[in-house]
This record gives sequence, C-alpha cells and structure tokens, in this order.
Amino acid sequence: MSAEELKRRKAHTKEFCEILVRRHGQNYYSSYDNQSRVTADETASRFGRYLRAARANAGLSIAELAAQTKLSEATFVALEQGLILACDIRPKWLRELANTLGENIEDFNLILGRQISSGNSRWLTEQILIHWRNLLAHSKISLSSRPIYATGSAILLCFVIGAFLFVGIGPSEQPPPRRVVNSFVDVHPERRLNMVKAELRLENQILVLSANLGNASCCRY
Amino acid sequence: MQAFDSEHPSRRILSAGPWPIHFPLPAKTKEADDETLIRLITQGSRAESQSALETIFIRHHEDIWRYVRSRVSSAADTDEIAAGVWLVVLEKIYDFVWTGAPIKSWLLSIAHRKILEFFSSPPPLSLERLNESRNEALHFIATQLHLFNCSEAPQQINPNVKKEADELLHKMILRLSDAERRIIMLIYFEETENATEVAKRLGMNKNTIRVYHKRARDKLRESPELSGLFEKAA
Repeated sequence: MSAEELKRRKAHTKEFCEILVRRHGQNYYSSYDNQSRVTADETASRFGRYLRAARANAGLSIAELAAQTKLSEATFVALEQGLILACDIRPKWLRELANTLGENIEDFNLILGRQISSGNSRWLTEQILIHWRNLLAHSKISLSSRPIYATGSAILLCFVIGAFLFVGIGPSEQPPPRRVVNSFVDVHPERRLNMVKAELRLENQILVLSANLGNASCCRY
Repeated sequence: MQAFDSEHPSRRILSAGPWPIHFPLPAKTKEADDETLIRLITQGSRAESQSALETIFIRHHEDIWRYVRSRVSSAADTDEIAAGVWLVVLEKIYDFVWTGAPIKSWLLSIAHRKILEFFSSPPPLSLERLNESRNEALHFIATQLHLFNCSEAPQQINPNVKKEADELLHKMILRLSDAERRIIMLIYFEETENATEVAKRLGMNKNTIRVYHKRARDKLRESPELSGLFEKAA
C-alpha cells in the first residue's frame, strides 16, 4: 500500500467512524419514545439509491466523484448507504452533487422531502425562455455573427433613441401657478348669521312694531 | 472463477501486513472487554454508548475490511460492503445478546452474509444471463409504476437487480419533462399512489398531475427499454 493510498485510507476510516458514531448517537436519542433504538430514515435510503443510480449513469466511481467535488469518499459512501440522516444532508452538498452529476437540485430536494419551487411557475418560466430562444433563433438575431461596426452602430442608435425619449419625456417648463379661488364668500362678522343675535333683533323689531302699532291704535281710537 | 492466491488482486494488500492505521481509543473504554462494551452500548449514557461503539469500530474495522477485500476484487466494492456491515451493526446492536462469543465473530458473520448478498447474482457469463437480469429489473420497474394493465403485487427482488432497476429508471426518466419525471420519481421511490398527495408535494393541481402522469406512462411504455417488455406481454 503506497503512502498516498494509506493516507487516503486513514482519512476515509476516520471520517467514516465519526459519521457512524454520530448516527449511533442519533439512534440513542430516538430510543426513548418508541423503545426501538433505531432511527429508520427511509428518505435517506431513497436518496442513497437515487444518488447511486445517478453516479452509475454518469459513469463515475466514488473516488472520481470525490475528486471532482469537495466531499470526501466516506461521505459519499455514507450518503449512498443512507447512513446520514436526511435532515443532516446539507444544501451545499446537494448543489455540488447536482453540478457534478448534471442533475437537477430540485429532484434531490423532492426525494429528500424538502420544499421545491412550484411546478407551475417553473413551467411558465421554462416556456417563456423557450419562446424567446425560438424567437431569437428564427429571427437570426445574433450579435456574434454581425460585424463589429454594425453592432456598434446599433448600440449607438439605441443610445440616441433612448436619450431622445428621455429628453422628450423628461421634466419640461413649469406650468403657471394656479390662482387660488376661495370658494367661501367673505362675510363680515357683524353680518354673519347668529341665531342669538337674530332672535334678539327679531324681539326688538316686534317690540318696536307693537309699540308703533299701539301708538297707531291710540291715534285711531 | 476464483483466482489463485498468488493471482488474487487483493494479494498486494493482504501481504502488506496489518494496516499501520492507529487511532487512539477513547479513554473510558480503552481497556474494556466485549461484554463491557455491549453493556455500555445498551445501558450506558449517550456518551458512553458512543464511546463504546467507536472502540468496537476502531478495533475491528480493519479486520472486516481486509476480510471483505480478500473476497472482492475492487476496493470501491469493499468500501461499500464494509459500510453495509456497519449499517447492520447500528440496526442490530441493541438486540445483541451476550453469549460469550466475541463481537468480532458476529461482525465477520455479518460481513460474510453481505459478501454472499453481493455475489448472489453472479456476474453474467452469457448474453442470455445478462438479458435475464435486465428483464427482471425492467419488470420490477413496470410493476412499481403500475404500467401493466392488470395489477401485480410488488415482489421481493434481489438487491443487485434493484440497483440495476434504479439505474435503468434513472436513465429513462431523464427523457421526460420536469413535472413528469418528478411524478414518476415519487411513485417509484416513495410508492406514492395518491394523486392528491403527489399534487401537494409538487405544488400543482390534482388534475394536472393526472394528465402529466398519463403522458409519462405512455412515454415510458414506448421507451426503447420497456417497449420490448410490453410487446412480449401482448
């Protein structure tokens, strides 16, 4: 056994031991509720099966996969065996695995029972992207196939049109200030309607009127 | 055919003597014998239980690995089988009844069973044998996905055939759209049969799920792998 292989084997064994002991501790904690000291994690087993199938179809061994990612061989072995609980599988690992194996990370999340983005919104986004891709393909719009001066002039034209529109839509001269029209009629306080004053005035008028009438009757009779 | 010892691929490893891998044993269980270790695992505190298992692993992992390696031709397969042995240990350690036999013999018997399981479907020596295994895997996929018109009860199959079925299915579902693939994944891996549950998991409408499921089933039936199976059945 070469020194390099020995070093690799030592690291593998040490890390696998840590994973095993950690899982044993998790089994220990789950023992008191249902008296069976085993945490059966079907989700982790299913993920392991899927991961193994993906790796086999990608034509990679565990060592090759570990070399392409930052994960260790022990972690891969533990993942494929379902030794690491689903809740302990980190999203960072999933991202690296998805990138290396050419898988969709949403599929991993689905197998692990995690929240995935809504199918409808994703479908709509995909359809819009496909539509634009087709549109570009059919209209033969491709910046790379045009000469540089044509691309430059097109960009310049767009800039000029944009500037023109900005100037045209931009802030124009200020409109004249509107004359403030007071909707209320200015009435002098003395002439404002005041019920008390109005009654007093009415009483005075009646008194005066009656007095005048009395004088008149006296005059008449 | 088993190679002679001098030609065996593991000879280089076996003749190199014991691994010079020495991990320090936990202080609490450094001197403990097998009986004490089993008692600590089943009756001790969490720390004691973990420490005892760590001790068992450090003491015996090398022997198990070398035993498996002497019968399996690749180191990658050895890692996988050895990991499987320890997984069984985790599941069964609490049921272990101390009878005086050392733990090592129990571990080696598990390793022996795992090796037999690994070789239960010997490598195909002919095309007929290869086809037989593949057909079995395809039949398993079709049964799991209810692709046959008549309902068939799910059957127990060899773990190796199951692995092959997983690989075949993974290859086939790559040709489906995202929604179709996820529906098939839920049905195959989680054995979910209820459209409402699938719709809930995928955040989609139940009727949309039914439509996608129908399309996915039709596509799978017409796939080059499964089409032969349905032609035979017809």
